[in-house]
Amino acid sequence: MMAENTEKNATGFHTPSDEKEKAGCMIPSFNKCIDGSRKWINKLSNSSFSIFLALLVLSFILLPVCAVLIKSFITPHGLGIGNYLHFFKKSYYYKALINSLILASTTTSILSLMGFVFAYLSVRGPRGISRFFKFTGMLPLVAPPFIFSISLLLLGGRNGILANFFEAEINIYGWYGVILAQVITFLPIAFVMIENVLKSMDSDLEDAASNLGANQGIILKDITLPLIVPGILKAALLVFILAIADFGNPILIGGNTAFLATDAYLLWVGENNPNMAAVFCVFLIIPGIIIFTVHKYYLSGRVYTAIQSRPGGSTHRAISSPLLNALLFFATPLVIIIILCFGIIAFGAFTKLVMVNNAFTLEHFFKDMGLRAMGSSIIFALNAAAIATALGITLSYLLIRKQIPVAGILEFISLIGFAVPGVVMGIGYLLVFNSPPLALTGTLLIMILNEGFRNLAVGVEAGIGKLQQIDITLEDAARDMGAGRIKTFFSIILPLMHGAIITSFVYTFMVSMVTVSAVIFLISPGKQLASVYILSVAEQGEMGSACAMSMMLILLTMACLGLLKIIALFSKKNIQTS
Amino acid sequence: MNNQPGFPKVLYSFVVLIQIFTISFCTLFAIAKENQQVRLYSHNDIREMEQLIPIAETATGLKIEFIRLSSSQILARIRAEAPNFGADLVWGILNSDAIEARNSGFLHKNSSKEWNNIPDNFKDPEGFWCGWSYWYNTILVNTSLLTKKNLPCPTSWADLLDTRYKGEIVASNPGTSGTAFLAVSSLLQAMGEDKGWRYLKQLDKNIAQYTKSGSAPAHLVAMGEYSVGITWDRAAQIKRDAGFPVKEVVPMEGTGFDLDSIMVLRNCKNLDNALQLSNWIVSEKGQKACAKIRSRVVNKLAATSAQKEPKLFSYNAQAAATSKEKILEQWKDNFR
Repeated sequence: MMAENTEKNATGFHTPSDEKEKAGCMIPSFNKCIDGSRKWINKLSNSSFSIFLALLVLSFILLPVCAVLIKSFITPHGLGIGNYLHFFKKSYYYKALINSLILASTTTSILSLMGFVFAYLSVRGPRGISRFFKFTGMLPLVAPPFIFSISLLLLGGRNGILANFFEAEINIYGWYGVILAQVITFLPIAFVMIENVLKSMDSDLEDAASNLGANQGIILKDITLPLIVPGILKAALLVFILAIADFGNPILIGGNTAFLATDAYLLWVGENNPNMAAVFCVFLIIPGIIIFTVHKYYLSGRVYTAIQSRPGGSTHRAISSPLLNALLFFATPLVIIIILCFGIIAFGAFTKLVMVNNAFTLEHFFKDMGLRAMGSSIIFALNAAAIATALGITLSYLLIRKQIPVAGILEFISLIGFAVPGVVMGIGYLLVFNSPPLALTGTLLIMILNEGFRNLAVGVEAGIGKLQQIDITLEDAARDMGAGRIKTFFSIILPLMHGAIITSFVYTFMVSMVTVSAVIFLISPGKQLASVYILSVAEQGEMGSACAMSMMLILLTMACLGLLKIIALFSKKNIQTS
Repeated sequence: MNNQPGFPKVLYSFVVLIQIFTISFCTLFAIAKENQQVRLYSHNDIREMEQLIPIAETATGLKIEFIRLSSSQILARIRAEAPNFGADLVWGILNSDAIEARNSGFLHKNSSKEWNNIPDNFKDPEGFWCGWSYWYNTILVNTSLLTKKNLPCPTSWADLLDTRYKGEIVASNPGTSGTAFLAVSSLLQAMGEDKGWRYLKQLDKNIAQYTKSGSAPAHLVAMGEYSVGITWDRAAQIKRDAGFPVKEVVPMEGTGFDLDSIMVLRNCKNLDNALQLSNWIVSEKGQKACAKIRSRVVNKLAATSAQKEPKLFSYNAQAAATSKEKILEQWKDNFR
């Protein structure tokens, strides 16, 4: 039914041959009357819809964050800053803050370099190398974010594969382990962002320098790098937030070192100290929000690229071999580790006990609980992606085209949902939705809502980006032809925003399949998710199950992505033919 | 032009598909377990539950949904959730935490005749909680690693202070692990506060890391990551039975034990089912099933007398429960 309707709508845009339109033209007065009421209905539905959306955003993003803020000021003696004083008095509390900041800065600086190296090799490198680095740079994205901790433990533990091979004493628990695991986990983010900038960079300046006789090293140092520094900075800020909010890696491989996100979790669930957990959350929120504000409002538009010129990649100047070798020298160790990590996961999945009993087995794959968790994960991720995309795109449309009041604030709130670490949103949801009017704890719905709203910004930003490129005259034309607002939205806007919808859906789906930090607070009996299940078996040392389930999760995510891609291609084709 | 767009068509049919998929999935499950569902929190290891749940499901005809949380996590969770608990039954929680839950008024009073076969010291006099098994702290050593590093096998708590074990001992964090809280609180009770803390401080110098889970040290020792682990009996025995080169050592001085408890949560959604399951667990049949995965069960009719009873500290769970916060605070001040 729905499909037939939309088909008709789209016809109406090109040729007003629709039966209803014809009928409308024949009876002008009737048409006018309809138009009048339609305007009213539109206005009413528009504003009520905006209010509805605003309410959703307020209650599912802002309210939980505020609840956490308030909680941090609750002391046994009423409201006050007692918890904060306590935080700075005890070394095991404030050390977590210092550690987290050091960790995030280290990961960020390493990744700014590695991201650039990978991006440069992928954009400018010879064909084979370029493809290879593009592939490895993106590869970690499909894995649960803590999977590299699992494989690093198997690889680099005191009795790990490397320790046995080199007969050396290696201790991966703690700083080295967490930093390495984070570098691999967040490589795709840094890589993609820097690659984008590098691709769209105008290469005229480089060509000019080259013609004047500068060698490639000098061009890289004096021209390319300064041009893309803002791009690298943007990537670095994002990595910083992700690193500080990271939960899975520190909890698995952090050893005794305290970090903010994990300790907030342990304080909440382990030691039953919700007030101090809330203080930790506040310290997690602050850097995220500062950085996102800087990112969004000060850095946007400062990327020195020339979008109107031809794509920079088309020049394909051969990279000189000393430069290539230098870059490969930096990148190769990381590539080897990434590939090893995935190899270990596959190896561990089919092995009875890694390094103890290396016999082949399939038993790890047949864990009833794990398989059930896998099923819930798909349901969860699809729905979360649907919410984030549908609401996000609609919100972006209202923000850009309808200029609803407080649009900027709504956009900012959606960004808060994205910037605030998952641990905070998990705790916030528990605080807000545990009692009426919205007693949602213990349901799958609360998990879906949490993940959907946390990723709302993805839909919103993708939508805004696209809408700013679409000329408003198309919509005006449709309106002039007599299409209502809703009709215009469905038959003009949506098809044109195809790319944004797909981006938002795919991204949210992938993130939701592997998320841990927020949902770990919200899972309930029978609603276990695969990612949380993997984390808990890994924590108990069932590495075989952890590897097998991770592998299945990776394959499943890839299969779903493949399916989405086919759907995307199919629908794109349809648009182009129409 | 004639072959009209399918984009919204595809997108919306896709979204509709997701919804249909979800709804059917949920209803399918809902129908299957409409009246026979029972939701569990448990600190039992996942592997144990993977063995026990199918047996319990066939015996009771219930559909059991469970998630594993550490003992203190369970307590924190039911505190946060009260009065709308996310589970019906807790099968496996530290006795001290069960006492805490009882004192907070979270528990349903049970009076089943199945309880008659449980000795009085294994159940709450008023019927709010009861034990289903008990377990104790042990030391697990990796014998091949000890030989390789030329270290003697420890036999007592005192042996662990030997400086040669520096960086070789792995224990867990009492804030997050019931096993570790039992070890810390029972040692404090057995040695007395002052001596106990002095012992723990000296021990800390040898500890390589405190894990989050109490079973994790057993795993790390079995995998050959560290030579000595402080853990609990079944975690150690599972590794031994799996064929790892490990040995379980019950410390000479004695060791702390804890009654693993069951409690039904007050006003839970599936009260009858929760009662049915909890009664089955302590029944003779249930206890025989439990005896397959635990070394000690509580029902007189099913108790395994063949095994030699280890030397146990006399442990006062009530006292441990009252001083828990203080102990944890002091532990963190010293060791974090």
